Amino acid sequence: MVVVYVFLAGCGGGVFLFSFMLSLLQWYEPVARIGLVAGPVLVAIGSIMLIFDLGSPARCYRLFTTPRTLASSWMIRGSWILSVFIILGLTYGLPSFGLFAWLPWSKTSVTGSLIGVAAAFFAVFVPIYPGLLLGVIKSIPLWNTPALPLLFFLSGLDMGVALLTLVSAVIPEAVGVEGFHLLAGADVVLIALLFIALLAYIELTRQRGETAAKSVHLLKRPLCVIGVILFGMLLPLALLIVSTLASGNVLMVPIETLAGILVLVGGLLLRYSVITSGVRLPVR
Amino acid sequence: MRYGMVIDLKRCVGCNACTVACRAKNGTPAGIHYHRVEKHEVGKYPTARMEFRPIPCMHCQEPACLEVCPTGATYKRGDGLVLIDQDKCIGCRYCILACPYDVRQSLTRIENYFEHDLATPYEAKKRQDFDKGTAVKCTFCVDRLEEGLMPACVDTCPTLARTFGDLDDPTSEVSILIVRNRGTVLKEELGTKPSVYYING
Repeated sequence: MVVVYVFLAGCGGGVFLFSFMLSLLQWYEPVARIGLVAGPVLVAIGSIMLIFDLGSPARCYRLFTTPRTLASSWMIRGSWILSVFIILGLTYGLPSFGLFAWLPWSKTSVTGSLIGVAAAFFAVFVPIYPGLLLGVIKSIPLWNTPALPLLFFLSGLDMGVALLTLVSAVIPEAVGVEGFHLLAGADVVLIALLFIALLAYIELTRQRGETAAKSVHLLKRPLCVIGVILFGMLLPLALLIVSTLASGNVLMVPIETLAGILVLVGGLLLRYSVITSGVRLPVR
Repeated sequence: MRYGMVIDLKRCVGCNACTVACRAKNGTPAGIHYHRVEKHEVGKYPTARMEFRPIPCMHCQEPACLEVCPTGATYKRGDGLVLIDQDKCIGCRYCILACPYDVRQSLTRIENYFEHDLATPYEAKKRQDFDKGTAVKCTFCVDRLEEGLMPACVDTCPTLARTFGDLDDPTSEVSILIVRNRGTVLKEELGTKPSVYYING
C-alpha cells in the first residue's frame, strides 16, 4: 500500500511540474492542462489511500492539529506539503477547463501565475518527500542516504514525462510529431540520469557495511533487476531512441506509449524494490 | 531525575522471567511483546559462549520515535520516561520503523491467547487498556513507579541482573554500577542516548 502511495506521489508531482513548464511556454495546452489537474488528483488519491491504511484513520485530522511536530517529523511535513500542493495545484489547473472557467483567475492572470509558481514549488517536494521520510531512518542503511530522495525525484520526473506521453497518445493532434519528439527526448535524458543514479546508489550502498550489503542483495533479486532496470529503464530507452529515429512513422505513437507504460511500471517496481529491501541493522 | 536501568549481562541467564513478568503485568495481547531477550554467540572456540541480552524500551534521551511522530502522541516526561498517548496516536507506524532497537509494535490485531473469542477475566480487563491500531511499547511500568514499586522485570529477575534507579543521582546504585563497570549502551553511534545500560558484556 505504501508503495502505491509513494508511486502516486512521484507521478503526481512529476506530471504537474512538466505540465507547468509546458504551460509557461504555452506549448501543447490541451495536454498541459490535463497534466496540471492529473497531478494533484493522483496525489489526492494516494493520500486518501494512505489515510485508510492508518491504524486509526478516524484520527487523521490530528495530522493538522499539532504544527509543532513540523519541526521534527517528515511525516507531518509531507502531510502539509502534499495538502498544500493538492489545493494549489487544483486551484491553478481547474480554471482551464470549461466547467471551472467561471473562477475569477486563470493561468495567465497575475493571481493565477502566483498560485502556479507556488504549486510548482511544492510539486518539487512531492516526489522527493517519501525519500526524506525513509531517509531519516538511521537503522536501515539502504534508506539512510541522501541518494534516496534524489533517486525518487528523478524517477518522479521520469514518470511525469511518461504520463504526459500517455495523455498525448490519447490526443496526438494536440502535440504533433515535434511534441512527441520533445517528450521522447526528455524521457531519454531522465532515464539515462536515473539509470546512472540507481547504479551509483546500489554500488555505494553495497560498500556501506554488512547490513547494507544484505539490502543490496535483496535489491538484486530478479523481480527488481528485470522489472526496474530491464523493463523500466533499458527497454523504454531503446524504444524511445528507435521512435525518435523513425520520425513521423505511424508506429511512433504506439512505441512511445509502450515506453511510457514501461517507465511507469518501472517506477512502481523501483519503489517496491527499495521499500521491501530495507534490512534493519542488528540491535547488538 | 532520570529513570534508567542497568542490566548485568554476566548475571543474565536468558530465563526470560522478565519477559513473562512484563506480559503478566501488562496483559499484552497475543503477539505483542514489550520486552524480549536476544541470544547471541560471542567469542571463538574454545571460549565461545552464549550471551543473553534483555531488550526493554531504552527510554532514550533523544528518542528516534519522538522525532518522527507526526501528532506528538509519543512524548517524553521530565523523569526521562518516553510514553505514548494512545488517544493521539493515528497508527501511522513511522515510530515503529524509526526505533533502532525495534521495541515498538503496532496493535493491528488484539487477540487472546486461548479460545479466539473467549478472553480470560484477566485478558478481558486488560483489553480496555489497548487501543486497536495504535503503537505500544514498554513504559518502564510507569504505574508501578508511581506507587513506589520497581518495574516488573526488575522485581522478577531471579539472578538480580537488573537494577533500576535515578541516573542523574551520582550516588544511586545504577550510576555507581555504570561507572564502576564501564556500562555501555546499544547503538551509541546513532545518538539516541538510551537510558538502559549494559555491564559485563
